Amino acid sequence: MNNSLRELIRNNPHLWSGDEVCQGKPDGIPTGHASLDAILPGGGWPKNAVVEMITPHWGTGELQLLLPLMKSMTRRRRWILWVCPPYIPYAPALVNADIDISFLMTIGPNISCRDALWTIEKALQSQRCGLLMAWLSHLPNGVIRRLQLAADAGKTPCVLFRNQRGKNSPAALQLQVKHSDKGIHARVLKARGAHQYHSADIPYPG
Amino acid sequence: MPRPISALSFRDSLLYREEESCNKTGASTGQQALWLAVCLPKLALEVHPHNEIAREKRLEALAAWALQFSPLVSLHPPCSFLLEAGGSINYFGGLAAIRDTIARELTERWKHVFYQATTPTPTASLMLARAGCNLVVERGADLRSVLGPLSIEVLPLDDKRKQHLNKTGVRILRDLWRLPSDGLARRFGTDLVTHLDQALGKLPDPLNAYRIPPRFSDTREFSFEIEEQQSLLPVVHELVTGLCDFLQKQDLYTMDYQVHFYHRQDPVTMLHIGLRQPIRQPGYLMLLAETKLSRTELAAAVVRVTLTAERFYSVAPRTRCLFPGSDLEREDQDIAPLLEQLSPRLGAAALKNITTHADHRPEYACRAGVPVSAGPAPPDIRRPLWLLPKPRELLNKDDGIYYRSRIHSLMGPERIVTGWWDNHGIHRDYYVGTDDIAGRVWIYHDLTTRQKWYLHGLFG
Repeated sequence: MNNSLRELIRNNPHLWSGDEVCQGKPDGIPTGHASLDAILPGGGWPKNAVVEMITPHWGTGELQLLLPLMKSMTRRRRWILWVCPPYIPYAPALVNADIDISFLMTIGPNISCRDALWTIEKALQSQRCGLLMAWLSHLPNGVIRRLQLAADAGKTPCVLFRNQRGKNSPAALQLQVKHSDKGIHARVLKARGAHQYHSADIPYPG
Repeated sequence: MPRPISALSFRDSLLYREEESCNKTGASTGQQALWLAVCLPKLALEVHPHNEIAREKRLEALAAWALQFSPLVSLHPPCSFLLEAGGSINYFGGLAAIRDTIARELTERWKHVFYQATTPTPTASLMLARAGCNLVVERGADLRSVLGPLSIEVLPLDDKRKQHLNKTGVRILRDLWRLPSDGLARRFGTDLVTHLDQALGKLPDPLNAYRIPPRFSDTREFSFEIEEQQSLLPVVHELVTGLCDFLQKQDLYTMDYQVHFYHRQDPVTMLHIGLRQPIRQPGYLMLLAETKLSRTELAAAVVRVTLTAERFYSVAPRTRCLFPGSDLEREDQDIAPLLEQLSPRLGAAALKNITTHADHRPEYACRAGVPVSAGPAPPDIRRPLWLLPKPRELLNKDDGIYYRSRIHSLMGPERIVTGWWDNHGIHRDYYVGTDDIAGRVWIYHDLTTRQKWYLHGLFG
């Protein structure tokens, strides 16, 4: 934007720049990855909301993106719930990532889908955990909307891992995560408060 | 400077009295302690010949009844109890009045055969009552001559030592007092000498004071049958509120309570609500009852609901924050109430902590279990975030190893050979590889069995 244009906007109250409307102030939770923060509206994970992570298979890099968040949550002595994890969360790796594993709790995976959803809703409403992660395959939009309300009421972020993208999902953020040559490729499929969607490559740590 | 008159310890409700000041102020006349022992030799026959629990219950009922005569009552199974009568003499107008009232009520109301003895020491009173003597000894100095003729049967000794005493010609207590006490202690144990000294008041004789155990029970009866579980919730709510009021008044906490639903004909449905830590918050107790009730099938319509709680705790849960409701409080979150709510529905086994374990075998280095404390820190080597519960065999073609696609850019190997001592030994070369579809993978080359390749972890 050239200087005269910027001056015009500043002096005329009837003119404003288009991106300011949507971007708002940065109120997200920093992800710990600068390139990921740059593509997310709010400069980080949305607060008190449902995030959908869409990956073709479990373990293609989606958990790496959440490590800094997990680290900061456990450092603040807040609990992280893993609902129906597909494999065993491997403690030595989590400890290497500087996560205090005494604040991790896994639920399942051998519980019914109904029980899992009930657990997620209760845990979000209870305000007793700092982050909730769940691996569930079938999630109708109505359910996601309900979880979104619970996350908002309980002021707790919730990350849902899915293999397929749902259409018109009510989640605050839909992030597609893939493996790429440069590391982890994250593409925003849908984000509340953004008018254009970008993608970023995040290198594997270490 | 005035001296303290009394010190009250709230912990075990003991009153320590400063004797001298008491005498001066006239707060108490320094009443001598007198212990009244009651022995019911035929208690077993009178209650139920073979039912030990019924006998214990009766003895407890008698102790509760005896609390009207003295604040200090102590139970001595199988068939005796003690009460401190000295402090109650003025109130009842003489020791004789207390003894008469006890005798009358025991005969007329309880219908027991009994002996009662009163002396300045608890042990002497019990000995006399058990020996079947109805008497009062007010002076400690007389005890020796009164106890002297009692048989050694009144002593708490096993048969072997009684026979031993018999063989040495000791039949009555007076014979014992004639023996030197150090030799007696050496041959028959120090407990015998201690017991004798306690009987004479030479040694203190600590007692366990009997207190009526707190119990909460409340019932709601309906004039009509209630079929809908939803309609029972307000009733349960009322009962739980009653329980919480009780806990508040008694300054107690509970860890479990039962709700019984009575039907007209079917057997009673019982809900047992157990907690992980003692609490008394009404909202929380109600939430648990609600969750439990919604998971329970009632056999038939309900005509009566009873809530009982019998086990109580006086420990208060740890206070977490000086200023409740502040930001600091939210930081250090306590997950226990949430787990409390989840575990009745999911089962306690579904909730697990993650811990590390010092073992070089990858599958043993991570443990899911109930303990909350973190295990030893693992070595700082690259490890995947996900471990497969069971290693998955990979396709091994001529041009490489395949998982979702060909695995390339291998890093490694890291050889792990260990565990031969417990028949779960491993001999593997681990590599970190890249699969263009699945991302970073952790694979190993098994060197023991036909050199197969396995996928063991995903870097997530």
